[in-house]
Amino acid sequence: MDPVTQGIFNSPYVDTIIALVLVYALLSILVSILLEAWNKCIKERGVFLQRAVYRLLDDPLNRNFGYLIYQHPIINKMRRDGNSYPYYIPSEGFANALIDTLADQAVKFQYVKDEDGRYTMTPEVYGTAGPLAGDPGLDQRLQLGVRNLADSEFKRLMVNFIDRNKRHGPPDAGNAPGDLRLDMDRLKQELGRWFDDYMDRASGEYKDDQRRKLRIIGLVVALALNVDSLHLTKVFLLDQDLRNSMVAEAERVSDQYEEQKRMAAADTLPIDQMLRAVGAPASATALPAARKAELVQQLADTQYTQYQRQAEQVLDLVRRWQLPLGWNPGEAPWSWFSGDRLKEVPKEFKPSQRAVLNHFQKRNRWSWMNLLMWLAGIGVTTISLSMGAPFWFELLVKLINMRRAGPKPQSTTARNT
Amino acid sequence: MARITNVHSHVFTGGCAPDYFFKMVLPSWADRWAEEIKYFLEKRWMRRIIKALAHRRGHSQLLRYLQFIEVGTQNSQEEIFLAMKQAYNSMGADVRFVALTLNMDHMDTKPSRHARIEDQLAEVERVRAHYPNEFFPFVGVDPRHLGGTALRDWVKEKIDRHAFFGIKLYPSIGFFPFDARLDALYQWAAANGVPVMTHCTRTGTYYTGRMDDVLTDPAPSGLNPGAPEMQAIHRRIATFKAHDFTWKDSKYGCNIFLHPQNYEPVLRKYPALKLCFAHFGGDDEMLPDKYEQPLRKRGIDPDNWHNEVKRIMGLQQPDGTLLYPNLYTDLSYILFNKCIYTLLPALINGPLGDRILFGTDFFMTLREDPEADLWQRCINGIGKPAFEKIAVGNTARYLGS
Repeated sequence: MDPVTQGIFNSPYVDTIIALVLVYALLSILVSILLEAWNKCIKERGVFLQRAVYRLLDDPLNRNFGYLIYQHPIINKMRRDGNSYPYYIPSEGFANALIDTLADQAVKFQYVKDEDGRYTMTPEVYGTAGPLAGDPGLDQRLQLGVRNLADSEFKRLMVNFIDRNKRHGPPDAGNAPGDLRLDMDRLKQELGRWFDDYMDRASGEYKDDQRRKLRIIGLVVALALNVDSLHLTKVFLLDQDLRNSMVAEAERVSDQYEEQKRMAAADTLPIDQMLRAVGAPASATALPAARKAELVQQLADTQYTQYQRQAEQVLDLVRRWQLPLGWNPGEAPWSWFSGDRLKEVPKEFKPSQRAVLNHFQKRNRWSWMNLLMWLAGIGVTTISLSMGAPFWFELLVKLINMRRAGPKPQSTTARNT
Repeated sequence: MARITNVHSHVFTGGCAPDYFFKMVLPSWADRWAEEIKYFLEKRWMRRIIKALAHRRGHSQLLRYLQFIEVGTQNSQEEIFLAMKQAYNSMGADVRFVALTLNMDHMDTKPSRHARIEDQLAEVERVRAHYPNEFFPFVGVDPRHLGGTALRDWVKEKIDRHAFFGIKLYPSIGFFPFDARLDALYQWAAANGVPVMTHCTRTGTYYTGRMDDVLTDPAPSGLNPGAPEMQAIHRRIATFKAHDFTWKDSKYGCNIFLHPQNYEPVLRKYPALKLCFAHFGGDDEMLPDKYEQPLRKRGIDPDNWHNEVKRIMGLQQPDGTLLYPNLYTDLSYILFNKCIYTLLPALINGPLGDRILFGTDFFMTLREDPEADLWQRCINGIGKPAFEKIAVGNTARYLGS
């Protein structure tokens, strides 16, 4: 790195940016925790998944198979209670439920009344020409069920899925290819892939929706903790000690983040990523798919205490770093009304400390300009926090890596002596 | 006690109802925020908070509303059915339930994410399969879904298999019962003794869109254009259309779509039709006419529907036999009103007594009283023999078994 670039990356401005990015990254975690807790509270994930599945399987000319597969025991049993929906449906479970539901379209319940007036039910499988004798098996029921549907885009899609997965049976004695048979395992795999691809796209929509909520929660956090970005910037620029300790902290956090990212990259399946997100042990990735889905649901249900613990950790860090955040009667904007503010800067302070205190003194006085600056600062924080923790952590890592490419900055203690 | 039948109940879930359905179950002052209220009340945590507050402040009506929503937002129709069934455990009798499905697909022109009628019926068929001797569903029909012979064949196929036992009409969701598209269905139902249940009070579920969308023809001819009642029906529609306030507020559409007289052209054509006027015209109408004045101001014919139902049911031929011997009425929903018990014994022991049916309108009635209170109040109010008459003999005759 050339000396000019080195100079830039060791300037107080870059350190201030790093300190700010660290604060945003940390508070973004808090925002994410609150968002997750809120989503959990209103069962957002489950409702979103249900809507996405309804949309995928809605056939206006026949049925909404999404509604019907949510009644299927595989999916219905994933519900925790009458008012909730599963957060995750394994692709295998989806494929089985859809196959069963489509196969049911070939079945009609017939009731026979006995002498006592009591009804007994017999399911009958219907072909195109009427009821069949006996049950021809799931693969045949599936094909009949799809054939019994009214012609629609969805029906054509299902017919194509079935046709693509037909294979010739073993050749007969004359070496002619055997009958075409439906390979159910391959069909399940293809339906599962179709579902996973769709859910990947749907999760993009989910993220868009979450961004809107992030902005609202970002504003709540900015107001609740009184995080004025313009004020923070000024303080970081003026207070060298605080800036240096923040940069050192940023380096530690950046290293930790990279380590966690490496671990998460090993989880290739979406369910494994969800398991990690809900705090499951690493060994959980070896469980069968159905058990993983149950575990995600169970852990998500007991996550409140985890959210609380994480939120407390974040707030504890903020307290430990002694950042100029929060509400107190001696600081703006409370000081504008309380009159309880620093009147004079004590003379025994060092010049750098005096500069910081002068800034506080000015800011704590009521003026329209101060109000505008405070509102602008809160606005900048809101926008910043709504960008999400991953964005800030990625940026932090990049800044730290660039900074490390230059000479190691002088330590605070060395400079003070 | 012999086998009791509740001929009027509902098990459809919130998932079967359109997004705008909720507007109708709210008190009128709250209906403009229906969607927002629905969004919050669908959350159990929100209901818990409101319940706790309502308990503390003793808001019993609010608590009943929440109970109604609690049941209506169950995941499956089977769960709602089981909740109803449980309310009869202490009756000490074998009870069967007629569950009325409802085609709500054409209640508005707005898009909605609800499960359509075919999905609702598919789920109901599952419940019937699980409880073949307790659960007896009716098919909800709407001539805008299917009409003519297509509608008839659609219903016939279900009833022939004994998967369903009758037909449910709910005209206030936007059609007249004399709609020509229902002709083939009535003809078949009358010839085969298939029971039809229709909603008959001035309130209930209604078409929530613009009335202009469903009342395009000011003088609909219907399946029996020559019937003398058609003139009165056309007059009623014209008066209704002339009052701008009423015309724009679709909830008043119940007054023209559900009027008992609308069935007379149908009955003239098919006198053997087995038809039940649900709710006996409404509890308000059974009691002194307190609503007459406001209704007239709004351009709504102030006929007393309770008396209209009694009149049509009592019509006689010149030889003194009943003109429409298969007309029934039920006591669903109105059982909550303690005032009607002074009138019921005379009605049940009177000339119409063999055609009055027991029904409760579960889970709509949860807004008023728990289900168990209703049947207990009914037994206490009319006496056990009268209860057995309306809940055992009359209902068996109506259902044909």
